[in-house]
Amino acid sequence: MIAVWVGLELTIYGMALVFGLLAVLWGVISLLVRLDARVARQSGGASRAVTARVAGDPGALDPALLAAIVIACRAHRMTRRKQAAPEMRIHEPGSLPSRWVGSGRTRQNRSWAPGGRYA
Amino acid sequence: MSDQLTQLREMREKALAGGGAERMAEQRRRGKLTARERLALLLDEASFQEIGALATHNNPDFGMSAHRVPGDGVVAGFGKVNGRRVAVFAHDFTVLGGSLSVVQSQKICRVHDLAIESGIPIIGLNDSGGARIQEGVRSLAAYGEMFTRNVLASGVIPQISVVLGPCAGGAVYSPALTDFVIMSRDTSYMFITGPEVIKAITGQQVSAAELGGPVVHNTRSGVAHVLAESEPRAIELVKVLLSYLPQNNTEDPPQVVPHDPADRMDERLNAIVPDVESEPYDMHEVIDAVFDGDSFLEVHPYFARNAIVGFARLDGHSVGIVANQPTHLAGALDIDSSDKIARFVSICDAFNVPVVTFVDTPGYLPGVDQEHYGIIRHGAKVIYAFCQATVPKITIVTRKAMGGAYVAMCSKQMRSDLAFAWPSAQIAVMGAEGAVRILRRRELAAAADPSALEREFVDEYQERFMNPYMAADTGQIDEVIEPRETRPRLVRALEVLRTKVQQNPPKKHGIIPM
Repeated sequence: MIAVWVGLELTIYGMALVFGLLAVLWGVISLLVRLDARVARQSGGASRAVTARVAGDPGALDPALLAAIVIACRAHRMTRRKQAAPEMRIHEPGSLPSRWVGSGRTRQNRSWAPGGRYA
Repeated sequence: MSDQLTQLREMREKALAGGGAERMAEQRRRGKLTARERLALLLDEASFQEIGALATHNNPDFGMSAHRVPGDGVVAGFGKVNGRRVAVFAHDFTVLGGSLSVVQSQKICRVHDLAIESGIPIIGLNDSGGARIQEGVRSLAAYGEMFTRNVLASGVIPQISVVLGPCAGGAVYSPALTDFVIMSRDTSYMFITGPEVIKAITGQQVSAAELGGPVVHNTRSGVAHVLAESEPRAIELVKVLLSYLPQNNTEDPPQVVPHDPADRMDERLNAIVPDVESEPYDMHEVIDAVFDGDSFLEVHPYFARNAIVGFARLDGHSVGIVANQPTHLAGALDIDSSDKIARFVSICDAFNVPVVTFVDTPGYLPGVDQEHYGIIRHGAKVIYAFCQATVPKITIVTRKAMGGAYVAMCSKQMRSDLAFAWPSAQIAVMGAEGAVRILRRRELAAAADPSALEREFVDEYQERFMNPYMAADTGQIDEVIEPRETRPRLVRALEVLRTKVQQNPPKKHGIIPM
């Protein structure tokens, strides 16, 4: 009977400890979330202010400069397209199985035939 | 160890210095870049892996021991162009004029061998004074080694030569054996025998530019395929050219994200062919309207201008274009245009690039010179190339398709997969006037007013035969389409034909009528 009471007592202490620690952890996490939200609000507000200033203020960027940037971006994109640069390709280089390697390996495993290096 | 590293670093520095600061300055003074500057422009940043940087000659003759420079006048290795692996070599003119030595040839051949085995394109930036005379016949053998690699690699990996300086004597044959030759204006020239030799033997006085300059080879001889205004432009053109080609003969060219709608129909096409039969129109406008915007790269733009060949993209896929140009010689096929077309079709076939052919030709060009210089033999090359090609082939007859030239220009019997015709097409054995004079010879001879009767017969002939419907009726044309429908029709057709596999009878190689 005593053993049962001791066991029960240990269970209560253990559970209390675990739930106590969980409660502390919950409190810490809640605090961190609140602090983080406050920091995000502050920094978001600042970036929005910058965006609004650039978009709203015609003098923030010279229209000629803006036009030049747009033209340069387009020209760069056209050059990359003409050269089939990686970012313009449907498949990343090397992402498709190479027939060169596939058919070459097959030929390697054929019986030896007379001929030179390129036979 | 630190001493050994110091020695290595010193040797590397020496290799990088090439012929020295003075000669590099002289190179720049001539408006030319150095070999390493050219490679830096060509290759992706930090992608170059050099081989043989420390190799140099062991020739003691003619005081050559004093001129031992690591690298021996050529920078060779591997790198990447837009993320794709390539093998490259660049002659260093600052080292003994880039003259070809045995060691130089060994380096180039080594890179070439590895390119063939790895299945990657090889690009040569040529700027060499020719064979290194001090090495005697050994330098000639060195050329032979290079030519062999060029031939063995032909049709296996794309080979592109950029001529950025002198290229004379035996040196010309290596670029000539490659698939594409790009020459830069002002700095390059190619000839087998120079102006001095010609003057000594024939008495003719001619400058290097007149003899083998970039304009001559791009307009008259057809040796060069593209003319670049400057060295950087020539190198940029290599990148653009590579974008249309696969890494090797077993792969497909890169496919880019399409930026032009596949179902776009350009209304201008419906009015592009003039009502008056003899009035020309520019086939470039047709090409621009049909293919992806700003994607056309013309090959041989200044040579045999009665034909147009080049690469473009259709819905992001690389295609080869062959076309007659009605604004030059009415689009008639002559010796030069036959060579130009046959070679291009052959390249497309080797590298799995589908061929789209636009036909508007009144026939082979008549003339004594043409016959005497072998229009039969040259014209046969066009037929040979089209018949041999197993890539997807689509033909569009825009206006005139007459006689043998119609058959040669990838007609249905030349194993064309699909043949379209615009309503303006005139598919016939010969022009109406000529046909009437033969068919109605007796009636015309007996007529009181032969010219009026001839006009009547011509009108009758044109109404009956000068349209695409008789050809469509006999199955030589698959479909008569509105010109504006050409782009969507081609896109759909190539989508189906992309997986086409056609085999020719086994043979060692065919015998093209050369």
